[in-house]
Amino acid sequence: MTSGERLAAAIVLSLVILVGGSTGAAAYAWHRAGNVRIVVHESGPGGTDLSLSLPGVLVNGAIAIFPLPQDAELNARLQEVTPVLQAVASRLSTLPDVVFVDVKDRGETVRVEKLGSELLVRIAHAEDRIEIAVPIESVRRLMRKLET
Amino acid sequence: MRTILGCLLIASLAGSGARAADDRWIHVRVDDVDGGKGKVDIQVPIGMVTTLLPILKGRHGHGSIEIDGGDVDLAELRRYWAAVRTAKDGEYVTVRDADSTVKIAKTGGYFRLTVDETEGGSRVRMKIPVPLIDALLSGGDDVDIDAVGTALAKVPSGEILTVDDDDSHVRIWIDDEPAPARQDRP
Repeated sequence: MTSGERLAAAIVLSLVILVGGSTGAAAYAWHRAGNVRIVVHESGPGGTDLSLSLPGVLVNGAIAIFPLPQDAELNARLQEVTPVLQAVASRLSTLPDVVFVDVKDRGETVRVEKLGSELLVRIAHAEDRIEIAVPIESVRRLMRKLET
Repeated sequence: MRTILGCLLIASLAGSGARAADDRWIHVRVDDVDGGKGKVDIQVPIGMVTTLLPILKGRHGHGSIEIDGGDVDLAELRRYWAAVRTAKDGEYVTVRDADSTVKIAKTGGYFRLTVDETEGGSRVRMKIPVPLIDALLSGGDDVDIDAVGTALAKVPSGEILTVDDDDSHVRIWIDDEPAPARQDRP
C-alpha cells in the first residue's frame, strides 16, 4: 500500500468512526430522551381519535429555544411552584417503577404511574381513553427553564 | 368522596413529617364495599409529599378545620387536647349506647379512637401518635404543618388509620416500600 493509499484509508476510517460515533450518540440521546405521547380515543359518532408522539429530543430542544411569556402574575406564581415541582421531578427520576394513583369507580379508571423514564397518566371510561406519557427529563428541563 | 378527601388530608399531613425518613412511603387505600367495585390506591414517597407541602401551606387550617362537614374551632380543639394530653395513660372515655360503642384512650404514646357500631358492624380504628397531635395543634391560628412534619419523622412505620364501615374500607399506613398495583377484584 502506497503512502497515498494509507492516507486515504486513514481519512475514510476517521470519517467512518466520526459518523458512526455521532450517529450512535444521537441514537442514544434520542432513546434516552424518550417520547411525549398523547393518545385520545373518543367512541361514538364524531368522537376524537388522536395519537401524537413527539420525540423527547425535540421537546427538550423546544423547551430550550422558545421564550417564556412575560406575565408578572404568572411569573410570581411560577417562582413559588417551579422549585418544588423541579425537586419532585428530580425525585421521580430516582424512584423505581411504581403506580402512584390507581382509582377505579363506576367503570372509570385513572392511573398515574412511573414507568421507566416516563410519567404516565391513563384515564379510561367505557370505550373512551386518554393516555399521556411525558419523559421525566423533559419535565425537569421545563421546570429548570421556568425557574430561571 | 369526603372520606377520600379526609384520608388524603391525613395522609398529606402524615406524610409531611418524615423528613428524616424520606425513603418511606405513605399509602392510602379505599375499597368500596357497598355493592360496587370502586377502589382508590394512592402511594407516595414521604419525601415527595414533604417537598410538595410548600404549595399546600397556608391554604388549609386557618383558625378552624373541617370535620364531617362542620367547622371545628382550633382553639376549642386545643383545649380538649390539653385535657386529654395531661391525663394518664389508659382508656378514659367509653360511651356505650344502643347504636355504638366509642372508646377513647391514650396508651403507649398513641391517641386511640375506636368506634364499633352495633348494627351494620361498622368499625373505626384510629391510632395517632401523641407528638403528632401536639405538633398539629401547636401553631397559632393555623395548623403548623412544619411542626407536624418534624413530629412525624419520629413516628415508626405502621398503621395510622383503619375504617371499616358499610360503604367502604379505608386504610392509611406507612412502610418502607411501594406496594405493587392490585389486581381488579372479580
